[in-house]
Amino acid sequence: MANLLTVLIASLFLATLAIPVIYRLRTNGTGTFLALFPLLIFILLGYLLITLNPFEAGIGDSSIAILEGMELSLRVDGLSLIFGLLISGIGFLILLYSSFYMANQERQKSFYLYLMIFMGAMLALVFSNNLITLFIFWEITSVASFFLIGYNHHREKSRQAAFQALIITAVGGLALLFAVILTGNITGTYRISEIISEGIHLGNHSRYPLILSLVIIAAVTKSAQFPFHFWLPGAMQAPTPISAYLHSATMVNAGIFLLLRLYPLLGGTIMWKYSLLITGSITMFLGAFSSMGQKDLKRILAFTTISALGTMMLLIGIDTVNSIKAALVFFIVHGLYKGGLFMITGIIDKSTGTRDIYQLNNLTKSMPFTALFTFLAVISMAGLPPMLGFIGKELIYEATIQMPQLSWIIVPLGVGANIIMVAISITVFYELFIYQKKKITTKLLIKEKAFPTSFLVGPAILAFMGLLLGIAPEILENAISNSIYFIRGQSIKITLSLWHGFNEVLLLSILTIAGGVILFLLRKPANRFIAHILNLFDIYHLPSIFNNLVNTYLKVTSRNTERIQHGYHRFYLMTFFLVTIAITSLHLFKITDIPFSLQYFSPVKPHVLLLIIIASIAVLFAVFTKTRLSAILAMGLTGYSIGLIYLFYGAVDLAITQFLAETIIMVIFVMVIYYLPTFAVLSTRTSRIRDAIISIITGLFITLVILKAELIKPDYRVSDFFTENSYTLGEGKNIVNTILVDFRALDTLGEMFVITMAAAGVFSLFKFQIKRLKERKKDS
Amino acid sequence: MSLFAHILIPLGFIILALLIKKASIKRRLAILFAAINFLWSLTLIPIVQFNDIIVVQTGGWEAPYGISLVADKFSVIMLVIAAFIFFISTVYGAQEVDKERRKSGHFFFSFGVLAGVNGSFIAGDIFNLYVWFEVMLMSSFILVSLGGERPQMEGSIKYLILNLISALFFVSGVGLLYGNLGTLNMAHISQIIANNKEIIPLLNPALILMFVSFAIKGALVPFFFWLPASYHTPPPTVSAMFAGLLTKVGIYSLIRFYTLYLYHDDLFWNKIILWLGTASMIVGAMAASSQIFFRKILSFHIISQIGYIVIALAFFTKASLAAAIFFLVHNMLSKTNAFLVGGIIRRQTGTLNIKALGDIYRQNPIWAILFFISAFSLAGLPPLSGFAAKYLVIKAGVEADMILISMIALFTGILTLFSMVKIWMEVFWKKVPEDIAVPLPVKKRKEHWMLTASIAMAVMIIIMGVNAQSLLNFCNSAAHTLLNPDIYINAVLNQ
Repeated sequence: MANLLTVLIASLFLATLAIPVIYRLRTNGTGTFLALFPLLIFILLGYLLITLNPFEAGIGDSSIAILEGMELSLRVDGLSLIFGLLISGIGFLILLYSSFYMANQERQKSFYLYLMIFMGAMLALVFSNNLITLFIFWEITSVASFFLIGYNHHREKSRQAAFQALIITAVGGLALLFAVILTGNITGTYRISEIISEGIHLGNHSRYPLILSLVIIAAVTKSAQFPFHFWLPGAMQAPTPISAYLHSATMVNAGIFLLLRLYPLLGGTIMWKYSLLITGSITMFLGAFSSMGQKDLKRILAFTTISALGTMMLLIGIDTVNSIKAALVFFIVHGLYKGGLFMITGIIDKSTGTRDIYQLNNLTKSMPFTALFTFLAVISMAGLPPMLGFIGKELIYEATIQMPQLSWIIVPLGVGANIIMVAISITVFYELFIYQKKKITTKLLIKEKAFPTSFLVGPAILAFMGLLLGIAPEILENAISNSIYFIRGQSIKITLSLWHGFNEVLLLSILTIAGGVILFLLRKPANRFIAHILNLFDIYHLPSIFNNLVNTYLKVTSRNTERIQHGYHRFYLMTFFLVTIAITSLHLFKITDIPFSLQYFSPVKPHVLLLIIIASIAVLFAVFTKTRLSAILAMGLTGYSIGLIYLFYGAVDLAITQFLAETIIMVIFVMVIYYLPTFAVLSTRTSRIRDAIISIITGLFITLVILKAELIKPDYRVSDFFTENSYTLGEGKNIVNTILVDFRALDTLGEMFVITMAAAGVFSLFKFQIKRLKERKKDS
Repeated sequence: MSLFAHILIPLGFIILALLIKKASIKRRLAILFAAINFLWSLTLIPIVQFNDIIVVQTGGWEAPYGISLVADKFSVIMLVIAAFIFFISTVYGAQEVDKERRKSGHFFFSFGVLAGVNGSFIAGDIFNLYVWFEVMLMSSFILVSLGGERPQMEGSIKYLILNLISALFFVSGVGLLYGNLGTLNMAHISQIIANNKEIIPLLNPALILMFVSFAIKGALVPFFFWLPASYHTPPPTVSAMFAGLLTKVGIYSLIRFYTLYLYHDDLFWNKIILWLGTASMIVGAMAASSQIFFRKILSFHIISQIGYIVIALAFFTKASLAAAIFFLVHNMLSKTNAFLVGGIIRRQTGTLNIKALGDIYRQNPIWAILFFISAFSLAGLPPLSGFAAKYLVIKAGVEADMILISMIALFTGILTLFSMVKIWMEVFWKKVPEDIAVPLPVKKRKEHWMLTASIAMAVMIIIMGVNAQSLLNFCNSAAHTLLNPDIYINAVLNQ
């Protein structure tokens, strides 16, 4: 069965190839067609859920791999099933929903392409049995979401939001990759099933803190935890179906999934607990708090998502069987109501043209079905019976109360956040469907009746699923038992029920609802109060801080780049020489133990000394003279002296070459000197002194290096072979010629290349120049 | 004989190009010869798989007396990929390069570069290597300046002078080394050093000069200035070819020298290349992100990518060497293709200023896809080739216990992503800005060969990414040969 799943997930990617064809045949039916694929997966997963053994996992191996150790392998257990069911189920509904929502829009093809890739990657992520493939799909979801968020890419805001989301999640992605590689290096395997079955836990390893920090960075960036949460409200620039999908079952929930998946490897330590508790509780409260006082329905929902994600983090951090159970149930609860509410937002937006809850008036009459679905979703969000949301909230309270030590702070925070949730739920429903605003009349662009069923079926199914699972939560028991077995290694039969009896948890629930109602009644002063607080923190507006950071970084780097890549030749050359000298001196300091001694060197002959003196004087003259011509002549003199030195040491050919080269260079110089601008001293005194110092140091170093080089002499030179054999084997009387055209003929061939290139190059450059001059003449 | 062909094929074209005048025939011939060169390089693969190393003693003179041409697996990989890139850029250039330049010898000098590159990859003799460097330098200098536009001249002068310094250093190093050891044969030198380990510190001055020369050629920090000064000035075909070939020759030589000589004095050399590599990685990526010209971003970014290869060399394990080679191949392909896409954009819009461009994604989705593949491959997105390359380098670093450097390498990836996304958003996503005057193209020109070339490259990037293991296997055995220089020495010296 796992293999069938592989095929089906792969089909999501392959289906993208069919998009152009379908699009041509039935433009607005593309979504409906594509919806078949996730539906098939959902059915298969449903079957797998029913047949799931509480303490077993199915593994589907394949031999497909980018590199060794990265085999594509699927793991079907409670955790992946819960996530997979939501991803494929909501994915199916989103595709149905999109076919109307996106109808008659340009570039639907791209939209579906990104969406299918995103869906496939997300499913592959949760079913991965290999940490590296998990990372690969994690990264693909980041990139796909970049394209989805930036879908309306002509809008500056969309691009910014997409950019922020990508950079932040990519930082997390890289952290995850590094953590995975470190883990693989320690454990010797990337296979999750091996890690779990061999009971590998890194808690005592010296690299544990590093690995855990990296994994937590990955999870908090992806799951929009404080202080990285700001990309999520920005991400609502995406088309509404995408927001619905990102928030409910995919993307942001991947961080939660990662932590649950890696629990056997990393979980349960003090560091694990506290870091998750702290980020989770801050995010939970901050998200709930910021959602009050928002007007845009999408924004309200975005902040409640942040709060919900914080809650899940917190629950994982509490680290008991109950808390993990609560986290899993809450994930389902949240996915169902959040997906529904976002789709409803899209429906209202399509129908009325606005998402501002204060601009919408009494929609019950015009949109009765939408009102019903909203009602169900909202009471699930508020955690009222008989919805699954009620069970979720009860479990959360149970987990927080039972928490050792810290429950005194966590419980009030949790209750506080939930009170706000209740208030928000009531506010949203009240403002949209009940309150009669006198001044505002909502115009309907499209009537509810005019919407096709496929557009309304999404929120309907999700709302009724929340109800169904609330009444019959037993359906989930198996999957949750299985998850907990593989997460915490405890084989416990989990039971879920709507009614827990009278206990302190119920009391807290009642308290929450009462608090929520009171807050709802006081919503105006409360909103003002919250707006006031948020204003105080406005200077810490994170998206702007992020933008400022990026801009500052750009400014600093471009300034420094100009400083490095300044365009001045002399400084480039200076850098080259100084760095080379620095490296050489590193070396010279290392081998001070070898003594210098003059006995290594041959005695200096007087005529050579004379030549050296002449050459040196000529060089100095060339440096200090004020005319070009004399400088060139002086350089020529140096060249001839060096040629003579060659001659004295018996290198006739070399000397001839040197003389010829010097002569030609001088002749050419004298020829072009006429065309050069008049000689002027442009450098300052200090720069000349600096240059002189650098030149002298360079010269000294070269001298030192050459002196040192004299310390070793070869026992045998290749040239001895040439001397012996140039006549006998090479059949040439001039040894230099034999070397050039026989022993090392290839070098000569190469040099011929150089000369040909140079000659042709000069010719071509000239020709171009002449042509240009002619054209210029023609123009004028 | 099989190795000689890699010098004779470009030579053949050069001779023919001197004889033939008609530009259209030259163009066809160029494509033909580039294809032959590529196909010939493919024939080397089975030979090295069977024999490990191909050695040709030129003129029949036994090593170390004559000049040896040597190709181990590493050389062969480089030859094949270079030949592929050359072929692609020739096909692309046949359409992209303007007629004026084609008449004035664009292909002629390109084949000069090819001769230099091929020669460098198979040289088994340090002076011969120098000669091929010269061939490459002379031809590439003319290619950069051909056309004589003002920015071109500015860039080409910097290119020439700074690279001449590299040549000066190299030939000085060769001279010193020859004075010390009495031989020029690379294998022979390695053997002498291996037999008298105590002399390597005394050879270091010569080796430092040669190292700096390679560092200049390879554009490592702080020797890279010539690259961003010149790569954005010539026609895009030339930039693309250079991006794929030139710096890589420097890095090839560095790897060759490190594995033959420098590793004997690890204590001294390892730190130098490790830190220069790390600095290149960071500086290149940061500088790239601050630029606003398409090709300048990519040029600076080359420096960063070279850094990855050098740190992988510095880790100096089998896995890391294989990773370095893999990365090298990936970088040659992805970087060249990014430049190729730039060329198509410039041809149709008349500019490569990312502030002035826009909306290409909607107008030309194919270019967008091609750019996406190359750019996100450079940024290391799975399953493109860049992911496997980055993964292998980082993994090798972790295995070599270089946690900090590996982490720097990994997170530098964010800067790369930043630059690439910046290009993406500015060039492909945003609306064409109305307030910036863009020189509009006169008419829509044909681009089918350019597209074909770029698509072929993109397909290679994907294949290499998805089927990374088969290339890695080859890289692994190349790394094995590199780590055991005795194989090389014995093959060349016929012992």
